[in-house]
Amino acid sequence: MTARHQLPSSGSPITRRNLLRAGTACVVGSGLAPKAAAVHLGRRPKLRVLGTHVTLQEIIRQRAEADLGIEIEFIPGGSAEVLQTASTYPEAFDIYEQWSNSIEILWQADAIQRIDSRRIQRWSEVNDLCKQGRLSPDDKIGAGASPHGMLYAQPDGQLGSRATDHLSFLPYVHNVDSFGYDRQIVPEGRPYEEESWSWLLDPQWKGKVAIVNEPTIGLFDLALACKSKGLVKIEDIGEITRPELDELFEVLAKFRRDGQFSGFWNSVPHSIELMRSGRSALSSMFSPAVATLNGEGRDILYAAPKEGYRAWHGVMCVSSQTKDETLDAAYKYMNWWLEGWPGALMARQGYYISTPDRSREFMGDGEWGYWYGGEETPKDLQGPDGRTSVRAGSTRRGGSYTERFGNVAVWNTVMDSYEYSLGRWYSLLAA
Amino acid sequence: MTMGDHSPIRSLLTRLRPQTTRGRITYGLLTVLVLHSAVVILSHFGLQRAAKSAERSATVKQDVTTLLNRNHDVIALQSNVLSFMYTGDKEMAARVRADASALKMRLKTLYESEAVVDPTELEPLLSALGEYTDKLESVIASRGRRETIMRESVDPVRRHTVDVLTRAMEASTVSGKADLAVEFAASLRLFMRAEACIAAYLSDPGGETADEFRRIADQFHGQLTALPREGLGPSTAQELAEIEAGLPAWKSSVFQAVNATRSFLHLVNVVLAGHALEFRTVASNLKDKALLAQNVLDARLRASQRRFLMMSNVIGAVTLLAGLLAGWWISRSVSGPIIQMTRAFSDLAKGETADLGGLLRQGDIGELATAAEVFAERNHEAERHLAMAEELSRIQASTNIALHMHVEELKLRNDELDSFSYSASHDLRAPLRSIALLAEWIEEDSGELLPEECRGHLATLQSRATRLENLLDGLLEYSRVGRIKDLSEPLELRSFIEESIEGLGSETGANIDIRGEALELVAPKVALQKVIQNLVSNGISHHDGDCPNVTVEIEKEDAFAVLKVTDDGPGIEPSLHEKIFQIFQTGKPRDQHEANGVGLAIVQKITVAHGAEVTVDSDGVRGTTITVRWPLERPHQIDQALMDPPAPFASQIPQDRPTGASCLTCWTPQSADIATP
Repeated sequence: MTARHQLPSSGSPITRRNLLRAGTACVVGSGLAPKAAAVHLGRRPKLRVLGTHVTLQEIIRQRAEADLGIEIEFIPGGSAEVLQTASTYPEAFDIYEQWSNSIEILWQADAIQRIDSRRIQRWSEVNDLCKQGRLSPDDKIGAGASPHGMLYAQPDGQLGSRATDHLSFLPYVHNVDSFGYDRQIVPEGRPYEEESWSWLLDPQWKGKVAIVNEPTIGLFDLALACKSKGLVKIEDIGEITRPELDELFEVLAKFRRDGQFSGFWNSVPHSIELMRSGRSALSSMFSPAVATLNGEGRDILYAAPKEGYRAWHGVMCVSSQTKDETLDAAYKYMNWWLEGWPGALMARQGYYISTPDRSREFMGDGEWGYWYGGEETPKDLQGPDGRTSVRAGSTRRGGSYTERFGNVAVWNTVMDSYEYSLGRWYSLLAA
Repeated sequence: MTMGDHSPIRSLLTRLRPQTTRGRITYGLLTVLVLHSAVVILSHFGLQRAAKSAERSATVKQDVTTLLNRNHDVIALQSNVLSFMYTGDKEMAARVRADASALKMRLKTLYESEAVVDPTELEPLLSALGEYTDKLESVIASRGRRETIMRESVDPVRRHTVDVLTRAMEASTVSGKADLAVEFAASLRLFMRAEACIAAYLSDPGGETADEFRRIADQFHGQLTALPREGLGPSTAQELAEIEAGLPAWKSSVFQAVNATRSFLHLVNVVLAGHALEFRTVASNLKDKALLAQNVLDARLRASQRRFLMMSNVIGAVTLLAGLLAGWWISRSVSGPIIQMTRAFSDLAKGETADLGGLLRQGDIGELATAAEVFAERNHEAERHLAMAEELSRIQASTNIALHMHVEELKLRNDELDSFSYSASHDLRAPLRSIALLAEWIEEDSGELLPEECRGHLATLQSRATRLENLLDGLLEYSRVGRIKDLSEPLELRSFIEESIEGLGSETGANIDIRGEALELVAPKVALQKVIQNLVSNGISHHDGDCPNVTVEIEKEDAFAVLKVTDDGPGIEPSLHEKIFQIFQTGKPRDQHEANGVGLAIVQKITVAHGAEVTVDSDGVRGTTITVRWPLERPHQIDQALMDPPAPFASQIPQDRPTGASCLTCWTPQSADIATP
């Protein structure tokens, strides 16, 4: 990491003057249009970013303000809440950060506007995962709503995979999820060979399994588990039909009544607490939760299921109501995300960025090899909060970036049967 | 000696050990009292603990009931929320708000109560419920938002579009443009299909229906754009143009309604249900935990009851045993020594040697043993003394016999002496008077014939005869003391003195002063009178002046009447104080002062005989005080003695001794110088 990208030290108070100085330097150095810069310097536009806690972190806001010379307001919230706000009140935000499965809704509601890919400096460096649905031509494309299928705005106003200059979203953070398990309780399995989603329904771990309380995510975890155990027949796991849902939830309700599940977590801290308290030993998990628990000295493995991962992709959208200098600030903010520092920060909590090579230069020794290369780290690695999240000698489970994304079973998806699945999900929780 | 002999504990125990019988009994009673109190206290605490356990168990049951009720509350709330979700009824919205608020309040009450459940464990419940109520507002807002969108943005478009298209269709028909009317009719049907999709979505939300709406709406939009406007009139054409322009907003509104629907569906079915499930799970876990705690408490209560019962039995047995031990100890420590001492005293009473085991003990029994030991020793000593006394008695008996013989002999000698004195004084009087008479006769017959020297000798002979006669009178008087019966009788001393010396002053020219109060006493009058007269006469007769002053003082001192006779004559040398009480002793040669030297001897003899005493006090220069201490009551034995005067001389002397005058010739008075002062 170069000195230019060092975070302000704790001894340097964050003042408006410092931020302006840093912002001016960044704008001048970024090569953006001089006209725009001249207009913005005096007004210091305010950018309202609506999203989840995954990316709306204070360290990012401060760094962005310092680098861009703009005022940024983060409006964090839960996924559903954020989506509801964005789809209903486009005037309430300028930048929307969420998951690809929310794009269709926002697009149909005219809540977001097209993004001109020509104003994205690193667009050419954005990898093929989002553009093609896979990192390499040999990889299979995961089921469900792969982000590449809704990336481009088509001339007819629909979204599609055919490349145009207009994007429905800017692809940035992404990852593959699976389940974590406590090695002190659950014997370790071999990645891609023994580790399986079916473990979630293994009676051996009855009462020790927690599931994320989100049908667009947890439903696929359970569907993969049921399918792996051969309990249901699902034609397309990315588009589960109502009859298939009925059959699936009938099976799941029985497990639920039998006490297989110890909880359905509503947030990442909740998932950590369930595992920390011992209520769960296997759980749908996100990478930061695993890192946090391992940082606390627990021995949590993030499984590499042989059925494949459940993948997700973060999307950055621009409100349909944003324009003028705020729109310019929105583009600056989106471009800043692809410049490398934010991607490096995301990598430390286990997430990938769509321009990984830009982030590599911001990552220290061992970090790139561990997070992206799937290599053994020679030393302890720290998470975004500065605490150790990876012990020396560890290897990222599932391998490298390409290996992990080469094993995507399904993408988080809002299926046509989404509304129906909500009712069934309720019946599962109430069972 | 072991170290334990000096240990503080042993010392303390020694100090605490009761020393007296009362102390031992008190200790015993205190021991029983302490044990009884311990039983009462243990019973109290045991019952209290059991009561607390029961109370705690009841509290746990109450907590379980409360948690179950809260679970039911959540289920009921969820049901009402579902009803609201489907109906959108505002009253139902108010009800679910109230239900949620009430549930929150009940949970808060449980949180703040002294429930068994740890308040920190209730925090996840409160957190889940807090999230629930927050999201409940979002549900209500989303539901309301959809209603608003439909009411304000979708329904007006529907009504207006249908109206315009209908009027356009009618205008085309009227103007004879049947083909155009058919196209308007087709557009209207297409629009109504889109509206049907909306209605279908609202009744049964689904992505397929939304996609169908989008497809039909896009198709309608395209068809409407392609429709010719000629012949419709400017207003209708304008309205069609406005409808066409408003179609994107209409579609957007529909999708906003769709999103609002998805939002509250997601909130209710996922978020709220998730929080409700978490609430129920945590509550259920707490309930299970509480039930487990209750089971544990019940088990502990039962175990406590069993322990208490067992402890009561054990304590009762221990108390009984301790009471028996205390009684045995008291009996042993109290009655044992008493029995032992009784035996010892019995042995001692029998005169046997006793085993005094209690001698080494402390306290009253020890003291009793010690006393018994002393008693035994003194008993032995008394026995020895008794033996010695018997021996002494035997010796004394023989001694008494000898002594009695000596006394009798001494009495005999005294009587002989008194008889001799009497006889001598009496029997010598006649020859003496004969001598004096013969001398007188010689002087009368031949006095003138005799030479002067012879007449002088003859005069001396007459004077010596007279002196000798006086001496014989005195001796007779002295010997008479104790011979006459003189019984005591009551008298008043002062008046008695006055009577006794009446006229003496006037006869001698002396001043006699009697001092002192009247004093009653019992005394022999003759003897006392003799004492008084002799003392006063003695003071007067020995005075060297013309007017002697004699003072008689009367005092009472204890049981004695004190009579002090003081004169102001020449004193008596202290060396002569004892001598003056001897018979025939005079302070001066008889040639200087004619006296027979018997007066004070008689005083002493009388006082001794009557239990009184006489003393003299004088410095030898001037003045003499003679004090007589006379008993106020005359001792009976003295009277008895005086009632039995000595036996007649003849009857007391041994038979082998001569009697009468003959006796005088053979008996030699010891005072050979009887005539010599």
